[in-house]
Amino acid sequence: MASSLDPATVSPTAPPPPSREAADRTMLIVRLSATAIIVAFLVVAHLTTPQFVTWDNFLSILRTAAPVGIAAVGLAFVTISGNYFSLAIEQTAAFGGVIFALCMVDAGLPLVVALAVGLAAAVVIGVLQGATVGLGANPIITTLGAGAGLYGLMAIISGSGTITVSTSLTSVLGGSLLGIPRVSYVFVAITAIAYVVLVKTRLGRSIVLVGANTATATASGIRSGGAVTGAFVLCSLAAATAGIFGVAMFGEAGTQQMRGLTFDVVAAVLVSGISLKGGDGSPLRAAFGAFFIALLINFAALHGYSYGVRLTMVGAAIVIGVTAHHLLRRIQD
Amino acid sequence: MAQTSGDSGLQMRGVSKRFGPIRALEDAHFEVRPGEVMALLGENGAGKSTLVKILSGIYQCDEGEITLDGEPLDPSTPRKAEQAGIAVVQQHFSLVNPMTVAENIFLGHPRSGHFWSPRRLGRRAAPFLELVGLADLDPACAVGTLSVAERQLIELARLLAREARILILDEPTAALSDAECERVKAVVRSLSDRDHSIVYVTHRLDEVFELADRVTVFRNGRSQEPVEVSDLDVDSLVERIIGRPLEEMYPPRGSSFGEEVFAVEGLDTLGLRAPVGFTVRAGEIVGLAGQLGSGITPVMEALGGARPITAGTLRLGGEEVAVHSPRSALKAGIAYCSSDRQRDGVFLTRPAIENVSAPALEAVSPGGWVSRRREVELGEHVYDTFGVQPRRLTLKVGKLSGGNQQKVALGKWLSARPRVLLAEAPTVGVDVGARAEIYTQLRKLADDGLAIVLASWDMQEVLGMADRVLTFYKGAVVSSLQAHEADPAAVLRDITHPEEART
Repeated sequence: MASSLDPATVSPTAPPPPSREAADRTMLIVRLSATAIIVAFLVVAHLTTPQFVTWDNFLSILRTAAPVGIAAVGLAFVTISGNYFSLAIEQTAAFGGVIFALCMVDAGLPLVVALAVGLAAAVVIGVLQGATVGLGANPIITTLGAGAGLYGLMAIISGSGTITVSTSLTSVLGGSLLGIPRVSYVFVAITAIAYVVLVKTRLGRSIVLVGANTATATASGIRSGGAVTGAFVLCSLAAATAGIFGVAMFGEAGTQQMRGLTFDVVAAVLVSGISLKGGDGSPLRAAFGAFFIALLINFAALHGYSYGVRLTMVGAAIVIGVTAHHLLRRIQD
Repeated sequence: MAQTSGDSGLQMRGVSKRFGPIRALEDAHFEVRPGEVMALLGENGAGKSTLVKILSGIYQCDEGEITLDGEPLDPSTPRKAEQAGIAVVQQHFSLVNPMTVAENIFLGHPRSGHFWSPRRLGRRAAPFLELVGLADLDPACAVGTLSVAERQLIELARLLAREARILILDEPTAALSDAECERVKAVVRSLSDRDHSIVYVTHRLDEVFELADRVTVFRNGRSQEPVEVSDLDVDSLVERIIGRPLEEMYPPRGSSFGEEVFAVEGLDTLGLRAPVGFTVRAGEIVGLAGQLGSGITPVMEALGGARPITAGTLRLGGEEVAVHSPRSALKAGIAYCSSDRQRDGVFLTRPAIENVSAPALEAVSPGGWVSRRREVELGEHVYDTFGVQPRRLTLKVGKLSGGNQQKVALGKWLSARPRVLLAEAPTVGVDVGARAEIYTQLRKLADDGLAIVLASWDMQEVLGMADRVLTFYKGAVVSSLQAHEADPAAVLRDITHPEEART
């Protein structure tokens, strides 16, 4: 049976909708809640952590947030299309990085070409997964399988080792501009592009409508398979971009390069309040979610917490975030 | 029926409920006596649902007093309401499909205990099944395997098992065919004979005259004095509901038809026994009448591309068109509006404007970029046609009333500029006022040259609207009647007993 949040339970004789004013007010509360949580966290972090509010630490947070954020913005499309998550994020990122590195190091191709090849590989990965899911396969299982496959493929072509990429080759991608890591600019730009794609383009609208109600979308003549494929391609592209910047930042590529990224990215989308039912949400939210996850990771790192504690913190943030959004949405409806 | 002293039964006096600045209920009075069937009527948003939710403990009233047999009653939670003997049968069932009939009846029952055997549970369920006319049903079969009507009756049995004295039935027949409705109505009658009070919420006025003793009409959150049904006729009741004199519910029929627009030849698909053929002229409304399972839905789905066509040809304006998906149907100029708007008619979580533009997404996004201007133009055009206030364009469809939701579900197809509109049960779950408007608009669209196929289980609707009626029985066409030949008796005979009709 449908939960109380399911729009399908709104009966045709529902009470009159709350006034615009009241609706706007609750919307405002919902919007402010995310900001309030971040501000509260910053205050606590500042009071308990001496090095927290420093320029260096801010840069460190930005560096952490960027790859997670870039991938999360892409994953948002999959979630909004009503297909929950891709569990192949870190493999796609690592794969993009490995292809990029092989092009640069082994083939000696120019940076732009290597970038293009890496992203083209991501498109192929996205099309294969998206088409499969579009045909009706379960997205979680499909991407889990795809992740394993990609991992294997990478192990074969890179010989399980790491590929060292001289940072001089990738200095355009790595490093800083005006004191801020270049990857952060890319994060902001990709978020803006993703927003425009979702709100302004036919593909974006199709993704939203298919996520809101696949049956209605199909009946309205929208190609749902195409929209889902589009969502997965955008997700793969974003993940591979994160992976390629990872290579530039760390100077090496390999199967293990992006370990843990999937969890952080999924966590970012979960805490962001994008509805898992699909058909609602925005890449901006995903970007904020990633920033919040980066704050948590940074906080844990400054306190020297172990990986276990860090995971527990992110896990708790997911549970609290999802519950809070669930309750807020109930008020809103 | 039972007439007892003044304060026996349920009384609500001066009940008010506000949602922010919206007054959902204002100084409402309502009563139901033991053994009485009280029809609760009103347009969508008139306050019926709010009243029901207050009685069942989902909402609390801001002001007012509720008494049961003269004792104050405080249904502040669903549990308290249930303990007081008030129970609601929802439009959307709360049964658990994989569980058995008996398990469903006692699910969450205060005295169901922690251990039970299927056989003992079955024995306990039997008397309640008998009460609702399902004595022959095996209590051990899974609810999911039953028909909608049977599930509706089990829902009733479930409430009887909780010793509910006040039963609130919220549109219990909305999803049922005529024959199935009869079963539900028979049970309602027998329950009122056993001194249960029945509050019957419905949009189907024929049921009111068949079942109810009295009627309470709500309008704009206010209640009107209860009236004996014997003092009313359909027109006076409709006027009470909409609060103004009623022009005809159905607009005048079309007088002149254009050329043949849509021709269906030898159409066959899963769910039909014999191929179907008919033609529709510009400006004509062809009605398909039949019960659930009669084949009208398969025909509509096949024509709309939602069900594979196994044989036959479709011609639009003389040219053969291939329909194999909703998309190809739309491209050819055929729009299919199904009867289930929540399933595949609207996007509840999206604004109305996005719903309206969805069938024309390619037209509003030249070069892949969605043009807000074109979207708004389309939305306003559709809203003008169907008489919805444009400011509602930005509201999520799920927040609109049932009538407005239906107008969106139907009107959005105009965006695709179809030449044929297939409308299936276009006024399901819609109040009287919105129904009349939808009928008027459909006729106006036909007059503007659209060819319309209207399929419905509601015989009155087909008779009231169609210029030609095709009757269906068990997957085959029984007869094709012109409007003037299609009297209710003939159509009813054809859609229920075709053998007699033939002789």
